[in-house]
Amino acid sequence: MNGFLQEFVAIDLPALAAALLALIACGTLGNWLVLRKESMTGDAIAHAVLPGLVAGFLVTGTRSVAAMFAGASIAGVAAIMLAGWVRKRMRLEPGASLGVVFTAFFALGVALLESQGARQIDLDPECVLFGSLETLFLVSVRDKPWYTTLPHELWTLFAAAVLAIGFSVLFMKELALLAFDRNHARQTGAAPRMLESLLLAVTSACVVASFEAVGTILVVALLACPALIASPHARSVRGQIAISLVAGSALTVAGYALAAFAPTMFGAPSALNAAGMIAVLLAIAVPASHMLRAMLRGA
Amino acid sequence: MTAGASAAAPLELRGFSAGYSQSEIKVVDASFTLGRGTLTALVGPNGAGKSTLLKGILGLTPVHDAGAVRFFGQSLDAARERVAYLPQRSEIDWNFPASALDVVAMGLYRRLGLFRRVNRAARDEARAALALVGLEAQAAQPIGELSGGQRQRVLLARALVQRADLLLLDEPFANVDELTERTIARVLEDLRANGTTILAVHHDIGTVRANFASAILFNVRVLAHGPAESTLTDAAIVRAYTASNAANLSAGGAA
Amino acid sequence: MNAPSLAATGLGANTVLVLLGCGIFGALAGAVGTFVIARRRSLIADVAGHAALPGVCLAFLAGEALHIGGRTPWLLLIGAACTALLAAWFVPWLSRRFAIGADGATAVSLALFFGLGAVLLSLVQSHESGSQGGLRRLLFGSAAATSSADVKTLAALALVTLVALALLFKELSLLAFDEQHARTLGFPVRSLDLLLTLLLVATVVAGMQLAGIVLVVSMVITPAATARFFHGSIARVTAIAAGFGAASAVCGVLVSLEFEHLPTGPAMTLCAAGLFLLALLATTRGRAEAVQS
Repeated sequence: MNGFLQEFVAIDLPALAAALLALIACGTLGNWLVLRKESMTGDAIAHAVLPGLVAGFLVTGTRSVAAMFAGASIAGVAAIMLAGWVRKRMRLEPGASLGVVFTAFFALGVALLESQGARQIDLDPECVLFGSLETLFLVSVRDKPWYTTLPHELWTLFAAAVLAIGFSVLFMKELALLAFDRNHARQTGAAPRMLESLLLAVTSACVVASFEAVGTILVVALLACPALIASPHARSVRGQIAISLVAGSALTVAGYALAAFAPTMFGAPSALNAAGMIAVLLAIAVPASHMLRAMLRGA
Repeated sequence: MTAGASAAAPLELRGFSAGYSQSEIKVVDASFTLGRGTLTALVGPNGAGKSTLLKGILGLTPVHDAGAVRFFGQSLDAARERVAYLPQRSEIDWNFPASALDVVAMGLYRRLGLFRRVNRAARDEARAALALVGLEAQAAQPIGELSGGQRQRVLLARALVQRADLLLLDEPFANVDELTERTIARVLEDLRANGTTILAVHHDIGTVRANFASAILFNVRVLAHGPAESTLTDAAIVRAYTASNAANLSAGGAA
Repeated sequence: MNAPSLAATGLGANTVLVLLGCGIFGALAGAVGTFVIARRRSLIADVAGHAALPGVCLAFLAGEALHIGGRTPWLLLIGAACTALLAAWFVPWLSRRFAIGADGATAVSLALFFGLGAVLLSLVQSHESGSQGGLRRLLFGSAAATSSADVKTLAALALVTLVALALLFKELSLLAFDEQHARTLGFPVRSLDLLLTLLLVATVVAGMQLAGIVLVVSMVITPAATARFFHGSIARVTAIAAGFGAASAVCGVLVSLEFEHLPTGPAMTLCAAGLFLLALLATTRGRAEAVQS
C-alpha cells in the first residue's frame, strides 16, 4: 500500500495536477467562448498556436517559456484575425475560412517541428495531439526542496490558471456584456474590439500553456465541454463558470483514473491515453447534462 | 457644458446615410430634428430601413455618416452618457445565464467603470427601474423564463437606468401583451413629461396615434415629419407603404 | 522511418503510381469540397476526418481478434468509414436534440471522436509492439509508406466516388446552392444530403493514408475555397477546385519525398494553402489596381 502511495505521488499526482490546472485555465475561458458561440474559435486557436510556439523556440534557440508564449499568442491572434479577414474578403462561410487558416497554421507547425533545427525542442507531433500527461514525473532529489523538482509544465500551467481566473474576474462585467449584447457594449462606449483581442490573446496563452501537457484534443474539449455541461443549469455567468469548473474537475479525475488504473485491473498490459479518456468523458457529459436538466424540469 | 450645447436639439440629422456596405445603403439623405421632451414614432413598412436608421445613428452599422448626426449639439462620443438604446427583442440571446436584475444592471456598467463590481447601490437602482416597469417580483428570475412582454420591459428598464436624455427604441411595442403595452406607454409618457426625448420604431400604423404625439414617416428616406394626426394621412401612408416611389426603389431598400 | 524512402529509389513505377493516386484523390477532394463549403459543412468535414481514427483502431482490434491480421486494408477502410459517417450524423443530431449551438456541437463531437481515437490508439499500440508505427502513420499521412496495392485500392475508391459525383452533379448543385428551390421542385433533399455526406466520408477515407487523418480536411476545404476566387458556372468552379486539389496533392507528395522528415499531410496542406495565398494576393492586387484606375 505504501508502495502504491509513493507511485501515486510520483507518477499520477503530477499528471492529475497538470490536467486539473489545464481545466481551470481552459475551462474558465471556455465559458466566454461558449457564451459568444465561438467554440470552434477555441479549436482553431488550439491548432494555430503551434507554429508560433516552434518559431519562438527557433528564434531564441532556447526553451524559454516567454519566447514560446509570445510566439504562440501572436500566432493564435493572427490566425483568428486572418480567418476573419478571409471570411469578409471572400464571403466564405465562417467554418471554411477558419478551416483554411487553422489547417495551414497547424501544418506549418508540424513541418517546423520536423525540420532539423527544431529537433531539440523535444516535442513530437503526436504529443501535440494527445498530450504527454504520462511523462510528467515527480523526481525526488535528496537535499532539495520539493518545489524545485516539479516538472516545469506545472509552473506554466499554474500561471495560466491564475491568468484565466484573474482575467475573467477582473473583466467579469465587461465580458458578460460583450457576450450578451455586443451592440449595447458598443453603444455605451465600451471598447468591444479591444476586449475581444485581449480575450483572444489570453486564450492563446492558456492554450499554449496547456497543450504541451494535455494535447490539442483535450484543449479543444476543455474549451467547449465544461461550459456546455454547466449552461443548462446555470442562472448567472458566475454560476456557469463555477458549475463548469466543479463538474469539469470531477470528470477530469474520473477520466484520469479510468485511463490509468482501470486497464491494469482488466489485465491490459499498460495504461490508456489519459487526455483522450478525459476528453471522451467530458464530451459524453454534455448531452447527459442536458438530459438531466430535461428530467429535472419534467419531475 | 456651455449654454449653447445644452440648448441644442437632442438629435439632429443633416443628410444622414447608413447601410451594411457601400452597395447596400438602406438609409438615404435623412434629415430631421427632434426637440426636447418629444415622443416621436418612426413609422414605415417592413424593410424600410427603420432599424438601420436607429443603428446607424448610434454608429452600429458598418457604413454610417457620423458627421451628419449631432446629439445635443455634440458628437456621439461626447454625448454617449446622455443616449440610451433599446434593441429589438429578437437580437438578444435569451438563453444567456442571467437574471432580470443582471440585465438591467448592465445599463449601469458604463457609470460603474472598469474593475468595479455591481454593488448594492447599483442593484437597488436596477431594482427600482424594474419596479417602474412592474417587474419587481421577477428580479431574480432567469431571463429565459420570462414571457415576451416581460423581456421587453426588462430591456426598457435597462434603458431607464442609464438615465439618458435621449432614448432610441427599436420596436418597443412589437408582439407584447396588453399589460406590457400599457406599462411601456405610461413610462414613455412620464419620461417625455420630464423632458426626455424619445424616438421609437413602430410598425403598427393603427396604434401610432394612441401612443405618440408626433411621427416620422420613413421609407429609405424621410417622407414626412410632424404631428401624428396631420403626418399620417391616408394618402401619405399609401405612398410610403406601396413603395412604388422610384426614388425609394432606386436606393434599394423598399420591400 | 522504417520504410525505405521513395526518394532514394528515384521516380520508379511505384512513385508514378502514388502520384497518380494522389492526383485522383486531390481532384475528388476539391470537387467534393465545393459542395461541402456551399452547404456550410466545412467543420463537420473536420470532425468526420478526425473521426476516422477510432474506426481504424476498432477495425485493427477486430482484425486481431478474428485472426485475420490487424492491418487488413479493407477492414481499416470500413472501420474508418463507419465512424466518420457516425460523426457526420452525430454533429447535427447533437445540435438539434439538445439545442446546442452548431459550434458547440462540433467541438463536443470532435472531443468525443478524436478523444476516443486517442484512447483506442494507445490500446492498439500496446498490442502491436512488434510492428511499431503502423497506425501512427495514419495521423499525418505517408505517401512513402503506401504500397502500390494500397494506392490501387484508394484510387479505385476515389474514382468511383468521382464518377458518382459527376452523375449526380445537377442534383447536388441544386441542393448546395439553392435548397429552397430544390424543395419546391420536389427533390428528396434529405436523401441528397445523405449522399453528399457519403461522398465526403468516401473522400476522407480514400485520403487518410496519404493526407493523414488530422489534416485531410484541408484538402477538402482549401482547394475549394481557392476556386471561389474564380467566377463562372458551378461546373467550372468545381472543375477548378478539382484541379487545385490534384495540384496540391501531387505537389505535396513531391515535397514530402524531398524532405525525409516531412509527413505527406502537412506538405499537401501547405501546398494547398500556398495556392490559396497566391490567389488571395493576386486578386487583392487586382482590386487595388481597379480602385486606382
